[in-house]
Amino acid sequence: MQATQSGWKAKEVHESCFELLHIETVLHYALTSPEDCSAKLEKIGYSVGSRLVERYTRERGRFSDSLEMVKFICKEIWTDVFKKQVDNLKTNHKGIFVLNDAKYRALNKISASSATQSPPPVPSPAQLTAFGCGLIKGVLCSMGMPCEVSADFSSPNVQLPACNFTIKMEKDPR
Amino acid sequence: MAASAAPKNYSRIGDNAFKDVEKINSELFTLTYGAIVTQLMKDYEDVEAVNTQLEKMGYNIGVRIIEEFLARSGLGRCSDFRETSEVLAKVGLKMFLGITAQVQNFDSTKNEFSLILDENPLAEFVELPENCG
Repeated sequence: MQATQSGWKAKEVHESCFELLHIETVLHYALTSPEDCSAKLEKIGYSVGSRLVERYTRERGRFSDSLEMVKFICKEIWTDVFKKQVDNLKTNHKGIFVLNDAKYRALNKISASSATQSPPPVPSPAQLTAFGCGLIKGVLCSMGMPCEVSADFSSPNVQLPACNFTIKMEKDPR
Repeated sequence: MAASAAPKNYSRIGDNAFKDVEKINSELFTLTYGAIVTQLMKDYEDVEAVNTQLEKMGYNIGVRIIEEFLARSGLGRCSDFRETSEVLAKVGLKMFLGITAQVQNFDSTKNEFSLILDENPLAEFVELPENCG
């Protein structure tokens, strides 16, 4: 079982605990401080990401390069948090990675037109993906790979509930 | 008190309900909750204000999970407050958090009871500063 492989206790809770907690937190910030809602959600995701990876690497040891680490995010981390793997990974091998999740959990329940609505709905797709951006950033930064992560859900080939997370590494990958 | 059908085995109902639900690692949930509390402390810098927010959020979540609870447990409305306390402690907490609690200090005149949790996924790894102990 994955939990014991990475040394975690095998305790579990209902998956909706996390989902409900996430959406409630998004709503809290969307309603109380809309101007920095996404920033705060990203910080929360960052904290979770950096602590998650601490526990994984205890068992596994260090990663050899950034590609391996991003693949790890796409498989293990995404499965543990979102119950599915990232569907598609692209990279230019120069420090940019694009992770495509064809059905990002937090975007499942909002309408496809939310991406282009003006004013944006509450919560907006940007607010709903901020945690995911922070999660990825937290994992990479705490492994010595500083980067920026952004979410895109309104390009022509990305329709809700699909989402592209783009990672831009700050320095060249090893 | 009028005798009704045989007393329900709430522990068994809770166990069965929890068995069937999709689960995630509880540490992920704990870490997320901890990160949220930490961020709220930075936002408000006041324990009482943070607790007020957390209680609001908890209330909203509680209102949302009741539908799934009713569907999975097959339980109807509770017939009295005593039943409510047992259902919460043995079925509700079990179905969502995988834990059970003990009902204590039940006082029907004041409509009060205590839930004693031996373990709490939300509080793992937490060290409280002295002023919060």
